[in-house]
Amino acid sequence: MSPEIIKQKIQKELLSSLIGNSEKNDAASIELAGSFQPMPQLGRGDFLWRAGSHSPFLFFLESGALVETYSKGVNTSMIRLVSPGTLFWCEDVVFYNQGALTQAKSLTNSSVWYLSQEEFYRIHKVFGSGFDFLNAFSLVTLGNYRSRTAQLIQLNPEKRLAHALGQYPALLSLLTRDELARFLALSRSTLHRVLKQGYGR
Amino acid sequence: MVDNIERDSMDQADSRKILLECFQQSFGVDFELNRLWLERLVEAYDGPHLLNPGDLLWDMGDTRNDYFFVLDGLVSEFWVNDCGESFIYAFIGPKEFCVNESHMLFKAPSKSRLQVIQPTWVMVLRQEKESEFRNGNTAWEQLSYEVGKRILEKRRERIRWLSGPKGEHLRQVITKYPGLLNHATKEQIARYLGVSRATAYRLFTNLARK
Repeated sequence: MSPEIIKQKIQKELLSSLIGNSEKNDAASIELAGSFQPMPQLGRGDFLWRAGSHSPFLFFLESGALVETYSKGVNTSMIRLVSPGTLFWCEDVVFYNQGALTQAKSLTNSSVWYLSQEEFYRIHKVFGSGFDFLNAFSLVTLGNYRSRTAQLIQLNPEKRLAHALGQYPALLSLLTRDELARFLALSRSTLHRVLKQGYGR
Repeated sequence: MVDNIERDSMDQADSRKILLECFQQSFGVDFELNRLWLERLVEAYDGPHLLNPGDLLWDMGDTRNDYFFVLDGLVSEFWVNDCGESFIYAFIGPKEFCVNESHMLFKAPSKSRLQVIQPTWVMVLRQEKESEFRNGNTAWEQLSYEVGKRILEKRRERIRWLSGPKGEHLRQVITKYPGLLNHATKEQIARYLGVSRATAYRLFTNLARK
């Protein structure tokens, strides 16, 4: 895919996150999208960011798949999966201006574009877009959490797996069974039963 | 952990002071720059109002966009799925903000019901007053962002708890909202954890043994 097309997709993603567009935000989104840079390709198991690090500000996943996890002691929680065509960020860096509490790992070969914090704030200053973009990013994050929480508390194990596979068709090959159980908040034995009954695995 | 003292009365001046302190914590170093504006905003909140268990702050289908600040007590946000089963998305306790997120995110009627679990004192910024503060105001944008960040932290914490052992999730939520032990039913706790009532009983038994 050509860099121009990718930057158009990034701009579309930026604008879709805003509630009510304005001329200044249209212009800012073009400048922001145009300033994204490709990162060296990530291989399976490579980290985009690690706990404690200050990652770049915004990312766009051109292809591949990533998982964001949070570890405390022996427990690791799967916060979310990132699919291609998604604009995403490390919340600790973007919202709290601190090192990451989570880590993001590539599940397959992944092509990622990034925008630095300096560039974001430079453009933010030039266009006077105020808190519009930051508020928009926080609303997108809130929407994602609502939908993930709904899946985890409302759906039974069978529907939870089916829903996850609908969203991420390659899930069974991307995650280990342990990771998948954690992502779906199921015990290993329940996941084993659901996979065997529904998918013959 | 928050205190679990149930109050018989709440003074308006004290309530406004608590709200202003919360804004101060959210704004950090920018607080003094915006102090006058924030004081005016605090005065626009009405209350404190005492709500009783079962009272609703908003119901499914509501289109109002009032902003609530819980001074003391406990409120739960219920969801009802397509099969008519209800679940608890979140608890909102002392010094926490809540807003109709369906309206805020999608400009859609509410898909949730906000119901009081224990006697609760709230302050409310009515949507009619909100527009005086919102329109094109940078301080409003900043405040929305700062308050939104606190809500987001809580939502991420919830995902972390949901993805971990259920017993730990129960322990964490009781530590955070001690009023649950006296005021929430086991069924409500089960709906929050996303487990059956029998599992919730077992988790409580295990917790009591520790």
